[in-house]
Amino acid sequence: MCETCGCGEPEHDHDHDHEHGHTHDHNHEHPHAHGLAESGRKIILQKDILQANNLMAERNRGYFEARDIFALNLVSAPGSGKTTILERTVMEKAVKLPLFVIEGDQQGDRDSERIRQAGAPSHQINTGMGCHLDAAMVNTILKPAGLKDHSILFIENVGNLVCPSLFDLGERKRVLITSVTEGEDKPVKYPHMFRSSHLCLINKTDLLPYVDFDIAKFKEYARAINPDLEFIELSAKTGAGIQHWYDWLNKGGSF
Amino acid sequence: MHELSIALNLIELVEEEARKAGCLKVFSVDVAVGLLSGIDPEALIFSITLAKENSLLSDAVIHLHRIEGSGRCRSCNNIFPVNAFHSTCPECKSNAVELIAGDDLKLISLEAE
Repeated sequence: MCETCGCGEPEHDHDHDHEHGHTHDHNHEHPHAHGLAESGRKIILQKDILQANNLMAERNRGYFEARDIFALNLVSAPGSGKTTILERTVMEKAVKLPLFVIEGDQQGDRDSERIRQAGAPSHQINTGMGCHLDAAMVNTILKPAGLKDHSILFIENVGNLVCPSLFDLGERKRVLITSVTEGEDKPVKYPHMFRSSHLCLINKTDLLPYVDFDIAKFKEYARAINPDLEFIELSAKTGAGIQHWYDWLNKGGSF
Repeated sequence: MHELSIALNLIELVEEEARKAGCLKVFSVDVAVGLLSGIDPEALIFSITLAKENSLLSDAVIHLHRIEGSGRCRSCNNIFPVNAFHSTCPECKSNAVELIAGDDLKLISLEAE
């Protein structure tokens, strides 16, 4: 069935079992009785639809590398504790390099204000109806943000476990923040986000006595989706485990 | 929803390529969406239909090709269809499976003049 007009053509099999980078001629002619003649010449492209974002992300990446800025994309569901973790990171001053924050939210600058109150420069991107940050939004704010060489930039994405997974911002590492109040089967339900992240912070460990969260099971689910994913368990509220996060940052994103 | 972002990116890309080829009207567009790409094909069609108004593609027919996932077993090199990120090799039962196809999101071709 034609996807757009629903005409009653017998279903043609579009199941392709092929490797990346392989070019095929998909010249299927299907006669349609819906009055729009297909004519003109065929131009074969095989282009990634997100190439505009990916190219901009590479520009951002190049900018960060040239200035020795360790850029991180922080992703999570709303309310997992991204901003609280950043506030504590800024206030405790255990991270050696200067810290900068870019905040992404649909509206308002409450998160940005919290970071400024904690003691670090922060710039806000408002996406309006948008549900994720993209590389172009980050690129426009880089110069006004007044970043320093040899620093750490936290880009706190819009709270959303779905859409941000597709949009490379040019970060060196993607950090997924989850919390023990969210259910240990999150990786199964949001595989794309878990697959695209490098480090997973398991926050709110102070609440473990009050919730049914099996940390071992959570890690097992997550590693099935992404065998290279690493974990730090911590509580932004009590400070338990947060030294591991600082150590990881001080080592430029490794253990 | 992010399918609208993808649709807008697609429209821009199609218009850019059509103009490069000296064309002013696009008649059809072929798009490949991997079943493991994180994109819902129905939502994408809906978004493209909205986004293509007042563009070079306003009358274009969109052909959406769903691409099945393929995995390669790291243990025995067997290649087999997959429909989830967590897969087991049907030959040797290993969980060390690498995704080799199925997360595509490509503009395959267009017809224009």
